[in-house]
Amino acid sequence: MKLGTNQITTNQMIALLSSALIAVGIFTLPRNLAIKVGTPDLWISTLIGGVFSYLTCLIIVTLCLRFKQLTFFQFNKLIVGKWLGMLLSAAFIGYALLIGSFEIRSMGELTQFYLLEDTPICVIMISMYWVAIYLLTGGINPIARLIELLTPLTICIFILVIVLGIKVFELNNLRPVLGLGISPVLKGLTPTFLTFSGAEFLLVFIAMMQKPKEAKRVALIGLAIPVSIYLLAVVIMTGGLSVERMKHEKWPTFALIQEYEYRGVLFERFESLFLVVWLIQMFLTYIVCHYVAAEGVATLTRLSYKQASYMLLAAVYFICLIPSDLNQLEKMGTIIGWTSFAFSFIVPSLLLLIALMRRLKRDGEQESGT
Amino acid sequence: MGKIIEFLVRTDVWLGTIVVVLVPVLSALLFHKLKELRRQTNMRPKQHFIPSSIVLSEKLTSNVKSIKAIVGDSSDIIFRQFKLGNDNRSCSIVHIDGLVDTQQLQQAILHPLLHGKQTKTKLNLFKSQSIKDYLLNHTIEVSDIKVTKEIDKVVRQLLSGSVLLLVDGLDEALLLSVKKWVSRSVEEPISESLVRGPRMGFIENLRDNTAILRRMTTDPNLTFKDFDVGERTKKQLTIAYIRDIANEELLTEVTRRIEDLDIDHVAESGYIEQLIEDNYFSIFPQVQSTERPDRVMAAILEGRVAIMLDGTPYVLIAPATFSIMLQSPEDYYERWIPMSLIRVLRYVAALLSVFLPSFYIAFVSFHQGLIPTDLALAIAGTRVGVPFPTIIEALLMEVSIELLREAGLRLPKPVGQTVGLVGALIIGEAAVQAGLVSPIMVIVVSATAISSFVSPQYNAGIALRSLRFLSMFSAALLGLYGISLFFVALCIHAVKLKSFGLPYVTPGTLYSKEDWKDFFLRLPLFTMRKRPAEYFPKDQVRMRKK
Repeated sequence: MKLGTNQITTNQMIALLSSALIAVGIFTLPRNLAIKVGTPDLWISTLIGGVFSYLTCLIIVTLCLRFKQLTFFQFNKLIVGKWLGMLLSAAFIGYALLIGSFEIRSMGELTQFYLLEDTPICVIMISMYWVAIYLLTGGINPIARLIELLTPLTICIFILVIVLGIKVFELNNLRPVLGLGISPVLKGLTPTFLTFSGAEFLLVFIAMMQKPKEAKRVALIGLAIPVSIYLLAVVIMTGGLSVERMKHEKWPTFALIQEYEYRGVLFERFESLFLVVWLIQMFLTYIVCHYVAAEGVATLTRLSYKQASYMLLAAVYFICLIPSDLNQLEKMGTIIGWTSFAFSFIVPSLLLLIALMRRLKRDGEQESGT
Repeated sequence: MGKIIEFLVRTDVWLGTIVVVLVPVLSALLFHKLKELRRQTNMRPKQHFIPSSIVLSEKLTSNVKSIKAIVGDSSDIIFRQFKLGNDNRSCSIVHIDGLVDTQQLQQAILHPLLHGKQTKTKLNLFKSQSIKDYLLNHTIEVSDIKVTKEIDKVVRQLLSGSVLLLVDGLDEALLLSVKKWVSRSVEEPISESLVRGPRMGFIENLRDNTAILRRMTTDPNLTFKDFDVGERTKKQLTIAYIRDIANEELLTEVTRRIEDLDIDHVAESGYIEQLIEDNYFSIFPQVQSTERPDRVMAAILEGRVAIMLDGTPYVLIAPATFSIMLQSPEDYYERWIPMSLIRVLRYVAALLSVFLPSFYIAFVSFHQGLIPTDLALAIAGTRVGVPFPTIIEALLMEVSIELLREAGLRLPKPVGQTVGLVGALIIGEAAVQAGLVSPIMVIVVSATAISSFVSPQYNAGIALRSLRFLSMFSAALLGLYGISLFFVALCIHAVKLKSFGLPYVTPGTLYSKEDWKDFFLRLPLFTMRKRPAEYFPKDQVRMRKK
């Protein structure tokens, strides 16, 4: 029965892209930015970083549209040959697993710190993995539907919680604009760009789109949503906390929420409420990563997609236990950031160049006819 | 390097890895097995309750004999032998006492047959063709007559109330329909009463139900398609749809599933519902059931398909989505602003009825720091002396509420009230005074119970009630995190679920502008110019632009 569709719609794609981009970054970006930039111009860095991400997205989209209905794992062989392609795919799978485990581990740490002090972290993480695998075995359509269903909800709550911070907002904290010139802003580009990791998953998902022609629109809106959310968060945090405090807080987002207090509402401490909702968002990001990895394994090996996703469960659980403390977790984040840079910018541009030079192209419709 | 080796030999890591994979794999295998159970086809020989070896002959006596042999000698079957008025030919009438309108039988059948006069036309009554012509065209005063040779059909029709006329020299039987039996009069549906709207509910008789629908429209496209379900009992089942609106794919799917049914007897449309639904593990109803004709009419006008079964006032409508479970026909009969607010209220109530007790459990046993200090102190104060952990306290109260509800449901009305009163007194007052539960728990439980009554569909209400217990357990295990996880798992389940190919959460996903006009809010009628896109109707326009 095809009453419902079997491919991802444009809206689902937008939700998918934006939820791949926003997750733990909301907790780590403000502090990293504050340390690097040092002036209140954080928001300019975020904006420029967003624009840059959009440009890389355009490269990815152009590349993917040359190979209709083929995922990254399938078309890289056509461009760089079988063995190099395998290597690239394997690296991409490893990278996706790394992000996924990073999200779950951070989620576990935050949950343990703010909600469940006495529960061992492995219980927290394992229960989430079980819920995740229930969704993952359903394939891309339930995943896309769930993300479409829940992303608007989490984003609304996030905006609500952040906007409540207006109470402690002081415009003076945001001044002066470009007081030390443009150079601090440029320094801030690295952490911003690292936070926008996730766009490279478009390499896989564009192949599943119902209307691939709208991929550019997807990239624009799907990036605009997370960028504006980060922008809002950074602006209100700088205004509410000042750059100096942001440098020293472990999690400035929570510091901001703890800063304001609304008495007489049912909840007095919004940070835990916020965390409860936000862990759904981290879960969604993890789902996207795991799906990409499982899809990759299924393409490379003889395993079916379901078998692959069960097996990768062991891998992500193993990886997420490797960092022994929060510092190591942070290092893991930095590694992820640089790998992301490679996969969202360097690899697609090189592939696109080679494809252009070798005039490689594949028309999906011809192929589907055979 | 040493650290890596140290990490690799940690047993808890390996144990966790094994657990994290093994449990889902095993449960997936188990569920797969259980799902296969349904697909297994029972190979059993086709049952013939009426021996096909018997055929009608030209001899009246042998025909009567074979009918008697098939139906046995039940006391309610009446055989009446007589001679035709004009040529003394032997005839026999067979019918079931109680299923036939006796007055009509005498006036329209027996009288003309017994007092028949030779007509002007030259009839050669010794030819079987002309005796049939004589009976059909000149004598019998009944409009619905069927002529058949098939013994199977003859017996089935006889047993469902037709009058059987056998004539000597004719190897066919005439089935005359003058059915009449006792049936309930049309009443207001009890399970779905409205303040405003037609006070009319379906009844048990299928023909009356289709007539009720037919009365609502003169659209020639309203189509009823009949099926026989139940290998032994052969109940009549009718699917109703509007021919130029309902999606073809949906129709074929519904037809296929109904034709695949293989069961001896269907007692109620609930049987059909459970046998044709997509996922029998799901807690959500995947087919809507209603006894309101206006609801069915509105549904088939949206492009859905109604399944009506003889013998029950409950009509099934497929496909169904979660949002439909929280809609009431009244939403459209009253003005849009209050009804939109009420609809939002229903969503809130649905959330509350699932999550309220679990939030209480989570806050009291895990996160006292999250609620305002005064409230936390108040709760702690009332819980002094309560001997149980919160989850036991909550279970105690929830189970007693469910008991009360179940007891009140079955009892006659006056007794039911007593149960309610006793329950309220005992649970509300005595339990608190005895220190078994805290007063705040009582408030939480009663608020939950009231919210679970808000659901306009009874079966959706029960689903939410059962989910509440799962939610309470997850809150008791993992606090707010557990609730969050449970919510995600619930969403995943709903997202994976399909009803006749339509995702169960439809307007929540596959966004379409038309569907959102009638999702959380009920926008003014003039804005809904098109039918909901979710059912892919063939004719999309509902209201033309001026």
